[in-house]
Amino acid sequence: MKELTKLEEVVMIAIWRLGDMAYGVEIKKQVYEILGKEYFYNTLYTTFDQLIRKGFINKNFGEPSSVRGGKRKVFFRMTEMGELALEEAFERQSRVWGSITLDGLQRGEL
Amino acid sequence: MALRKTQGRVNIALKMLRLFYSSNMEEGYSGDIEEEFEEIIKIHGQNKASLWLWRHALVEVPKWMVSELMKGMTMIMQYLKTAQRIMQRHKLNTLINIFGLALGVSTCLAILLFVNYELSYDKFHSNNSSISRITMSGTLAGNAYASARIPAPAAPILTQTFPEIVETVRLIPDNLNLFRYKDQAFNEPLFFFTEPSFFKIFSFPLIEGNTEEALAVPNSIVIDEDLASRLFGSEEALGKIISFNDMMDLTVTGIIQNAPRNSHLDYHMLISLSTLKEYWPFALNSREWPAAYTYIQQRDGVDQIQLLNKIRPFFKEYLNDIAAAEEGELYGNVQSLSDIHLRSHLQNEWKSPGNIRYVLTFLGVGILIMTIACLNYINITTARANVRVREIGIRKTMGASKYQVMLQLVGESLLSGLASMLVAGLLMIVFSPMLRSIMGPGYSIQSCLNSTFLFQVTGIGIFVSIFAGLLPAIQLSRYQPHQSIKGITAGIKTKSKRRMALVTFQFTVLVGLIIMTLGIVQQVSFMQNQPLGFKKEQLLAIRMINDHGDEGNTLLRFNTLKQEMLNLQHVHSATLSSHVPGTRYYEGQFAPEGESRHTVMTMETYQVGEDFLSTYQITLLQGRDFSSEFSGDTQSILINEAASEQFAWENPIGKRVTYTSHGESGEYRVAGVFHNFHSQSLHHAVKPMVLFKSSHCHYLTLYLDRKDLRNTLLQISEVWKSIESDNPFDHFFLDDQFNQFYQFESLMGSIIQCFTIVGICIGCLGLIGLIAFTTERRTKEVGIRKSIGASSSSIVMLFLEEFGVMLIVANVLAWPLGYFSLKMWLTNFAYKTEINLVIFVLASITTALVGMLTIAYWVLRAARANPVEALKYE
Repeated sequence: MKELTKLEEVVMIAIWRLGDMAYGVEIKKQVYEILGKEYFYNTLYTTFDQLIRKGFINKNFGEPSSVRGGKRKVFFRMTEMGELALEEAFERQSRVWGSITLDGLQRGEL
Repeated sequence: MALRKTQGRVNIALKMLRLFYSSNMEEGYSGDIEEEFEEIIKIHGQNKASLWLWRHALVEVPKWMVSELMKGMTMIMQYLKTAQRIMQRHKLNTLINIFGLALGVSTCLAILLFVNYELSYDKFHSNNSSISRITMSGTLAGNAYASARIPAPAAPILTQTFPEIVETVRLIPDNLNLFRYKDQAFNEPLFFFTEPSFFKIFSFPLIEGNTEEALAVPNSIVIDEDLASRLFGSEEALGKIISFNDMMDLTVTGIIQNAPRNSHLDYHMLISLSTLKEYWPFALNSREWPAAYTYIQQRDGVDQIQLLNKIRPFFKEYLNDIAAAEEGELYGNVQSLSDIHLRSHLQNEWKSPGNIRYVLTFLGVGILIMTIACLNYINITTARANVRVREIGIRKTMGASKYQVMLQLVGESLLSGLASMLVAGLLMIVFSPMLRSIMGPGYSIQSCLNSTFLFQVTGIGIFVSIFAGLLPAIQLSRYQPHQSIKGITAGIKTKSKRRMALVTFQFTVLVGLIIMTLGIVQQVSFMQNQPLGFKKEQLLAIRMINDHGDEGNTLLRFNTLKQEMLNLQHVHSATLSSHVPGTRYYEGQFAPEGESRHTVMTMETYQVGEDFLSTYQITLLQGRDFSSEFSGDTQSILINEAASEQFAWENPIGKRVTYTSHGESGEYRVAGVFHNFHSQSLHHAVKPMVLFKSSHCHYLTLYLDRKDLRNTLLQISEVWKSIESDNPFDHFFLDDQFNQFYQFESLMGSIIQCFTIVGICIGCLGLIGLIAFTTERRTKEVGIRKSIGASSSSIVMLFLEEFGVMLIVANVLAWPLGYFSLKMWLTNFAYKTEINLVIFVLASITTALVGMLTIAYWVLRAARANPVEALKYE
């Protein structure tokens, strides 16, 4: 199984959270919420591309509307493989950090 | 809605953003941007929103791109470092590589310049593509006939008949004529009688004067800048009077820019066509005699082939009665202007034309040289690359892909390719005076500075370096990493079949080129030394000036001059004639006795004095020479062997022929037959020739010995001055005149010679590179051989043996190739040398010697070394 980079991981989480509503603008907002840092679309779409290539998400076109200059939305949806990858990422993260707490880190004890 | 308002500004930013994004995502991507953009407008207002968009377009995206690039850059910097280290370690190889390629490229560039120049002929006319020349061809009296000129009255009829033709212009040339302005007098053949439409069709700009009026009225003349400054200096030229043949006065009505060198029409003067009505009505009105170069301008979009299909039958009709009189057929032809210089070889061409075959030959040789240089490069690079198998193996183990390895190797090649382009540029500048003297006006360093040429140059450079780098790159990148690391020595072959084949090919080309060079040099010297039937070095021709209208006085003057000349110590004999060998010739039609009136033969005619044959020392074979004792000699003719053969009489003496010229005819008796002599270049066979006895002449020929030549010439010019004080002393030796015919061949010879030398240099560089490499690889072997007692010379022999095999194969291939291409080239000449075995042997020996010396030098260096050093190696 291919691993996820940090940004990929955050984008996956954003898509998972948004469910049916996962498209560019919303994902960008979610990523901003999680990381507190603005990523612009070129970076985000590069990440989408990579995720699609890895088979973790797929994309669907929505209906065209007048709001977006007549352009269709592109919705992203997690695949089963993506879900597995996310789970694995979570497991790994928990293994890495284990029972370490921020409090403990600051005080220098387990 | 808001987006509409700011459409213009936003669109630019959007477009920039889209540029960086893949197309299948584009819709969602720009949709997202627009959606967020509108949201920001709602919250923060218009200005803030477009600021946001622009910030992303100008700051975020470039930032992202730079970071992506940096990832790649580390790799590229590393490649550059490797390249630099390798170049430093193999200094000799690098030098040879760069210099060899530079030699090849600069040769190729020089050739390209020449070829470009030849192809640029007549392209400077702004409506060049719609200008054509009307010519005629067909058969007359059984001989093929093709003339660049057509009868002058045809042009107006063409304009009336064909709506496709917008404009026509006629240019009627004349022989040498005398022009005089105050005390300056000169003979000039480069001028035309022409009409005002000349300025409409061609783009020869007038500097002074008016294009409508300059050539409108009779007796007007337009002169070029050079002539204007020569004649009038800084004085006002318009309105000055130039005397023409001491017969009429021409008024200067315009000054025209000098005709460019790459124009097939070169002239110094233009005289109004209407002048001919008085001066030479025959040329203007004759339907029988083709007097005029006739150019047409077609309407835009007219198909040349369609026009040709119409003009052919029209001309057949128009010329029908003339053709029928000589039992032949004539057609009209349409030639486009840009084809005239390289592809037209008709009778009476104005400027001796170039030849597309020569241009292609040069191009071919250029490509050959380039190929040698490339092969060299490939050879050395692959040889050297084999040592790098280990490096490549490690790179691949570390995760470099096949394409990255290829990129690295091709990139390195591109680097040395660019370096050699720079060296090539320097070489071009350093050698430009030499190239200029060899290639003539076609070569100039300024002409490099146009965009198409620079484009070609960079194109060649990039193509060659990629091409040369690709082969080793493909080969090396194919190795599996485990192979290349394990088989460090297995990968290095000291004898590679492919490398040997490449060297063999190079030497084949070299031997072939040397054969061609020697063959061309031989033919040129053959042509220059071939006996022409008279002693051209000892014959001095002087152009005479007629008093038009006063035949008696002219004759008196000429004869006094001749007598005075004969009194000089070193002048043995002298004669007057209408033509001399090597100048433009004149032809007339002859009908022999006993045949039907319609059997007409075209022959070259000279009008000569009675001492012509004796002065030129031409042997009389049958009959008698002209003589002043026979009063009826003006009705006698002398014919050459070729003419005698064509008339096919058993005994030609006393036979009658009817001679027709310019619509007049007369009957003549054959008095004698003389030995053939060459009146034209050796490209052509000797033509049938007829001599008339006449006092009408243009040249005085002196037969002199070359002892004390300087003094004799001085005396001759003094005699001239004493009698012909006002007239220009215009003289030449016949050998100079003949050498002009072979100018192009000698040029070709020296160019090919240059190329051959360059080729040999490149070949040797290649050999040095390879031998240096092989000896280095075999250092240990040499050391072992020496330590068991081999002598230095036996080691050199060992290496030479290998080269000997390649050399023999190369010769076996090159000889037939050289033979056939030389044979093909020689078909251009009516008189040619035998292809001599000597030149083949010489070519082989030269290459063998050069090759062996190169090898011997390098191998000897290795062989002389202390074997202990060699054994320690590696």
